[in-house]
Amino acid sequence: MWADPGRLEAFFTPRRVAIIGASEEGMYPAGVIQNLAAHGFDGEIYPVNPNRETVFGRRCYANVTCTPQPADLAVLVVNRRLVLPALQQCAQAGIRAALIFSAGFAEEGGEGRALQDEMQKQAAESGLTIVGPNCAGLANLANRTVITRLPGTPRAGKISFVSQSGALMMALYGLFADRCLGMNRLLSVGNQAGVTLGEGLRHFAALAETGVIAAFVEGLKDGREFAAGLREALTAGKPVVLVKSGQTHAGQAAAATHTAAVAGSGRVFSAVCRQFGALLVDDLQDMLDVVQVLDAFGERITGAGRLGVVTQSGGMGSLTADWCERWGLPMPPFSDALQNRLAELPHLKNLGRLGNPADVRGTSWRGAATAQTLEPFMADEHTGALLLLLARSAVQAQDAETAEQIIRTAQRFEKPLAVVWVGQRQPLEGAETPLAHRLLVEAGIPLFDQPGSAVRALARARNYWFYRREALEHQETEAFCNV
Amino acid sequence: MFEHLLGYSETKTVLDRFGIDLAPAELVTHEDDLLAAARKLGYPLALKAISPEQTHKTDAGLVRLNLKDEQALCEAAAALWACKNDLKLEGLLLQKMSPPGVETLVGVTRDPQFGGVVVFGAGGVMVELLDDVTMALPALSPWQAEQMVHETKIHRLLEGFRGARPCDRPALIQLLVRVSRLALAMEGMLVSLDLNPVFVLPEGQGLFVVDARMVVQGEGI
Repeated sequence: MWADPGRLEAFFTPRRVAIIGASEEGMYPAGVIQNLAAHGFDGEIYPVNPNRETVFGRRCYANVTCTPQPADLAVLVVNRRLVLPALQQCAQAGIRAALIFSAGFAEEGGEGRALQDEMQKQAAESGLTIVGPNCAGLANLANRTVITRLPGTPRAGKISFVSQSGALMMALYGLFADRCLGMNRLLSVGNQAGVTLGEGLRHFAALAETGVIAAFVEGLKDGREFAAGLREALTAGKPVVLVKSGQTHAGQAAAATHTAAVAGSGRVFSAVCRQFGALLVDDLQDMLDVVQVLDAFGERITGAGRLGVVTQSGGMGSLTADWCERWGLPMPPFSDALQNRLAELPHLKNLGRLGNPADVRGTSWRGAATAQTLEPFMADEHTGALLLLLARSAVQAQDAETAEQIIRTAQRFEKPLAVVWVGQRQPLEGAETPLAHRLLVEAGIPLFDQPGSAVRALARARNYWFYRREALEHQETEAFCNV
Repeated sequence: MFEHLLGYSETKTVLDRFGIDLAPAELVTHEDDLLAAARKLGYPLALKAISPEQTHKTDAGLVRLNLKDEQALCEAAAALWACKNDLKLEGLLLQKMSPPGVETLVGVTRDPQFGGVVVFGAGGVMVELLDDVTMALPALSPWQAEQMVHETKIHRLLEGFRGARPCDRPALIQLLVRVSRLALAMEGMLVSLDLNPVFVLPEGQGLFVVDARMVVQGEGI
């Protein structure tokens, strides 16, 4: 019924890439070839452009049929009127995968729509798989195949991301990079003339090296395929985190039945996400927050059902407790064993019995004391996950030492630890980024600006794994083969 | 494509095929059959004028409820037969009054992106006002149907709110599962289905599907 999402492998693991329309100027004509080389792609790159002898010192070919060896992926960065002839040449060259950056198709309507229809027809006839048009490419950071424009040196990891919008894919990549999150595959599907967003989800769901899937959804080409993607990801244990734009209510008013009147499109979308355990969040930072937690802790985040909160400030502690109640994260009292251990620490013994949140005063988190304070909480077997609330001090170097101690302690335990560190993030007086912040981020410890963001992310991640457990327990066959 | 509302008998035939029972009822097309049908069902009864031209019968004054005896029935019937002149009347539906239960809605709607979607929620004439519904894609497993019910506020009424007896949940779950199978089997043909109200009776007593409206695409089934 749908295409085999395995066909996307040709796009993410090509050996010989022909870039049709490559040039030394223009965002994509020059940018794509430069990025592909700069990020260390280790296959062959064939620039194709009849108007040039060379592109950035590489020999340029007049036609995709004249490359030394047949390319296994064609990348089109040409004007839209050249797309159809180029695809014909791809077919002649035996190429079965084409990534089309070129714009001016269905998104413009009229003639563009007609051209896209023709493109789809031609592709179907020649057995060509299309990603795009009007997309911003894709990337596989596991093998450094970056066929898009990405700044910096991407960190390889387990997060895959799919969106329609190309500009947004690149911008969001920047946000992931800001948090030092490791990415696996990125895909922008553009107008979805061939590969759809749902197929992208299904591809990632089946991919061993992907652990978490993020998606930005505008419109769907095929809702059922999208739902199948969510279901396959749920079965595979790969959480999907989504942001959706344009949730319209069109068509509700004229509905003939009560049922139709109350079932708006936006509602159906969120219901489908819920049904298959996908986390639909409101905005981009929410998506990154929960992706980060899912990526850092995997299924261990279920420990947040016995969340310990340790705070440097009473006010922050009670604010966090409010959020925990709202999001249904239980905070059981700390055990006697833990209380006894803490009472033995010289700098804590005057605090008396600690509640949860445990209000542990400021000096306990200064430099070297940090590890001593944190260690008993991390070691406590009754605490499933720990949230540490700190306030930034005026001394950057001291915060940095605190951060280092947090990292060292956290690395000794399997227990999920997230940090809320409130205070200025901007560098002081034009200095470099505050060191403490950077250290935690680079060490992969989820760091938040405010308690609400942390609690939401922890609760959502925990909910995902609980829902999945239940869903698998009740996996009746009729429900899981019929989407 | 042409869409049309199925008549009572056609709707009943389709629902029967998926094991979905409507409340005990008799469709009377001739005045002389009225009292015999009433005796078969037993009082109290509801009487409804059935016309494919009317979307919401209560709003149009085509429903008479709680008719306790022959006299009440005959008066109500006379008033509704009189509508024959203004409406294309399929007949009068004589239906057993539902015992007290929780009023819900079970339906199917067609979403432009997802196709057939199963809907569950608070039912009755104030569905839009209460706006307490949830949705899921077919086919549903019993567990998924349970999840749906759980997501609504009316779920608390079904559990036995403020000392009331809990409702027949297994019957409701079974109905949702069957409706979801219908939705899947009729994908592409079914435009929408409204089972509303569905009275969920106390434990062990099942349900009363009081009204069913089905819109299909094409010339019929």
